Amino acid sequence: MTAEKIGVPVLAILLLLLSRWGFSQELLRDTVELDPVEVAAVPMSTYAYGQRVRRLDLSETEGTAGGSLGDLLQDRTGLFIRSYGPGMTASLSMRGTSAGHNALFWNGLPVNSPSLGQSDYSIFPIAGMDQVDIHYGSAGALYGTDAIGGAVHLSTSLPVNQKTNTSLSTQLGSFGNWRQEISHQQRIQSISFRTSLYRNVLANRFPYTDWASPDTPVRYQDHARVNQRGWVQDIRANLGNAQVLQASFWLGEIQREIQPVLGSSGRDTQKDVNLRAVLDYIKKGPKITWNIKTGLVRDRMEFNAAVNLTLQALLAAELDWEPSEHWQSRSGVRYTRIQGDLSTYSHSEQRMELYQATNYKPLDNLGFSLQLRQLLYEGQPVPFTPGLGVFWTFFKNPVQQWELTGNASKGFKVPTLNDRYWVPGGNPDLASEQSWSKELGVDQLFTNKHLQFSNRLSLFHMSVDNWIIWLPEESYWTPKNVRKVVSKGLEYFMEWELKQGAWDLGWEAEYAWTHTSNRSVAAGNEVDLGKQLPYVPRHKLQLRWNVKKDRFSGFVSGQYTGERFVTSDNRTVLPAYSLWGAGISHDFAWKEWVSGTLGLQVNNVWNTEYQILRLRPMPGRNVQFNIHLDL
Amino acid sequence: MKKVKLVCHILFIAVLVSCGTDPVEMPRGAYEEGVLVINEGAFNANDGEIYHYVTESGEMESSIFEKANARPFAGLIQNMRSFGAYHYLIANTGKVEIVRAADFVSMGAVNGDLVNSRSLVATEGKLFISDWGAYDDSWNNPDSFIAVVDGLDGGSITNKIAISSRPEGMALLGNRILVACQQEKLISVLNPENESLEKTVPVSGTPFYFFDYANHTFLYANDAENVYVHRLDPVSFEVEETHTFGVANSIYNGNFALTDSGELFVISNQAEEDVVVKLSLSTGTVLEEHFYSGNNFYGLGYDEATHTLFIGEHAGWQGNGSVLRVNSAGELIDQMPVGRGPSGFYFP
Repeated sequence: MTAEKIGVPVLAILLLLLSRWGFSQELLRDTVELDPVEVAAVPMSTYAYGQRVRRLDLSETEGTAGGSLGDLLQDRTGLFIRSYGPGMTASLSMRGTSAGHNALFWNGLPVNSPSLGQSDYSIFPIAGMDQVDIHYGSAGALYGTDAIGGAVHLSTSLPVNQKTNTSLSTQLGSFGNWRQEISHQQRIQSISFRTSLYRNVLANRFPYTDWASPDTPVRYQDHARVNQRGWVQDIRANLGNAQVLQASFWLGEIQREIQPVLGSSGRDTQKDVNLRAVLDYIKKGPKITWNIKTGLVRDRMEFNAAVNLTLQALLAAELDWEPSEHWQSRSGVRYTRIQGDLSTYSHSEQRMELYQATNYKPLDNLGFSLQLRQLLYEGQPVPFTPGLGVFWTFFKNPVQQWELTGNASKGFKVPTLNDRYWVPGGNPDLASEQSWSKELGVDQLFTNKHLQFSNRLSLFHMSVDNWIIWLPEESYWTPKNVRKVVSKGLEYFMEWELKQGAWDLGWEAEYAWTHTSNRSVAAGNEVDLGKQLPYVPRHKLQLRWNVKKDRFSGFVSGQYTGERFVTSDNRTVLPAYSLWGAGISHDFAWKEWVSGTLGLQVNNVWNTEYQILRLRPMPGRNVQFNIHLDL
Repeated sequence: MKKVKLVCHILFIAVLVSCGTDPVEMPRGAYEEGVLVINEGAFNANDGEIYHYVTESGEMESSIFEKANARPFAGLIQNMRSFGAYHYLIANTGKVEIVRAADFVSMGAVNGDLVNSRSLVATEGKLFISDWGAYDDSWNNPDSFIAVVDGLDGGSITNKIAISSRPEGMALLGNRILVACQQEKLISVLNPENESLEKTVPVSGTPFYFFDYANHTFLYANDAENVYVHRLDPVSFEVEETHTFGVANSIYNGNFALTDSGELFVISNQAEEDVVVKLSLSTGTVLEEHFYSGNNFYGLGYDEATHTLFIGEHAGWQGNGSVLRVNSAGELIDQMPVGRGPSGFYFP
């Protein structure tokens, strides 16, 4: 069934309901109040016509204050994070894809591990970023390898109002958890800088039911401790003549006791040391913007005594230009050198990418975007990768706007170094994984003096071919291009905000329905044909209500995650669960030189016993107390 | 009155005698018939389970441990041994669960201090559990041990006997415990009474499991080229005789199936397929090089009652596996879905 076939009745019903709801109630204006930040380069999402890019402003993240990127996405979006426990490995599933089918960028630098082909979203603390942008849907032509299900962009940026500021944050939580952060920013003539240091200690001594032991006793987790610390440095120098040189540096270390699966006595440990550095030269003109970027990502992972080290060095140049008000274009070239020194092999390779993105707006209410990319790795081209997007604003008046969007794009994933060179089993003959994605969407925005609300509904259909699976051979496992998966679904996002007097009320919701289906499988796995992929919930719903009055603010949040199949034949299932949280905070100022926020929040209010992955217990009800000071 | 008492005494004695001499028909438990399928479970998922196949109806009952105990097994089942009225489910994830054979209700467990347990014997009122111990930085197991538990219902470990690396199968022979130690390719002989190591016996091939046939104890071993079956002296525990079968790439988990007539089935992982090879213990020869073939074979069992070979198939570890039933002519009877990684079969 195509997305269009699914979409027509559902779309019609939802539009009817939404418009009725929208016009019959007193609707409010969205107030996503972002700190003004200077964005020197043209954001990549400029060329993402027909797809949704959602920005999560971290000043709103009371629900996950001090947590990781994985916590943030799990709590605040309809995306599903496969988490092995609090502070443990967490990977992203977007639109039914696997962990390696999503690209992750930090300040424009791809940070997915070239050996694993994915990122651990638990090792990125929110303390190391100012902004998170989520690009839903395949975007291989825009971002390159891995962006099959979508992409996540993390960025740091120095505020435009460059006053000197020092901030301190600390968070005390249940189970022996303690997070701290100190940050200082300053401007000296044309140079701005900010230095942030953070330290998180998570004892994670939470009680859980030990289903693996007779009489299922309640025990306390004793091997899930996390120690994390890091240094984030941002520097920007205005060179004059609309030229900017900006650099960011992130050194992070995280040591973890690996929480064992129930029934195991494992005492594994893992230490990750990650160094990321990026330098941008940007020159802005009235119609042309140059961006020269160079960067380095060094990931060292020590699992017990096995050490794996990867290094990515990148050099890129982009030219954005607007020859007329109807045309907008980006041309770019990117060179990447990858070195992997893994516990069983060493390998280095070079990649070269050429890309072009063009926006054409023949009318104010109609635009097209065409993206093209060609990547070569080790001299081999991956199939040419195009993408095409369109938007049409079919209704617009001073308070309301309706827009139809569409996109068709190709995505790809270069086989990871481990896929090709792991000893034993690496398969250097693997082909790149390929995807074709189509989506249709409708956006609605209502704005008046007090109210802003918006809705977006997307229907997507994606086919991923040459999906790589590791299969057992005579005496070891080896990866093969064996699987084809079709994923289709629906994403709905809604937010509204009402400002009435001193009151500021907000509500947001995100829902994702994801249906995946194996269309071809390895020999002997025919029973998996047509089945949902493991650990891809069909339903994920996220809700959040905010209220703010004067110095007080509060929130209530909830999320529902549907059943997940444990195995590819869909014969074992994990139950759905709902989680609720709530929090309050109070802003204060003392004298003129100190202001801040006190906050208290409760997570998993109803003490729900749940497992995201089978036999991986998660914490019950817990409390966090936050203090933030600005000096 | 005395007569009444006398009659009562006589009746009482008669009742006692009748109770003591008449055979009492104790119903067999549901799981004391049919076939128990041992599903090892997948690494890092700990989803090992036992399935029960009812021969008469052909029905396969899933997850009988979880049904009987209202909790998952939560481990990787390396082995299942049966002593008395109990089955011992040995998990290589570091535990032993003890269940009543009749209904699989949990009777106890050995928890704590087990690391990578492999097999078990019960004797002298004690449990002896082979355990590889932890891996070192080079993926060796230098701290292997035999754990001793006082009592047959589980509990805590009272002693650890240091032993040659990677102790696998265990057996009782005479009043000694034999342990197949893989790293150094030898048999360790333990005295269960004083819990001490008495001697070691070198063998050819990597030793796996002991079995009894025709009043002798044998040891199954293999290497990349051959399968070895060693017949052991019951007094000295030395190898009396070795049959060497030219079966290359016999499966790494050492699984095989034995028939009452001395035929041995083993799995050979060949380039394009997995092949079940039929051997003869009597003649020491390969009877059929290609008894049955397919993909993803992982476990074997032979049902004497129906003369049927059971083959466990792991489906590439992408999901649950299946069981193939093959008749004595090497023809597939049927194939049934089971749990993850069916690695063995038990015929009560």
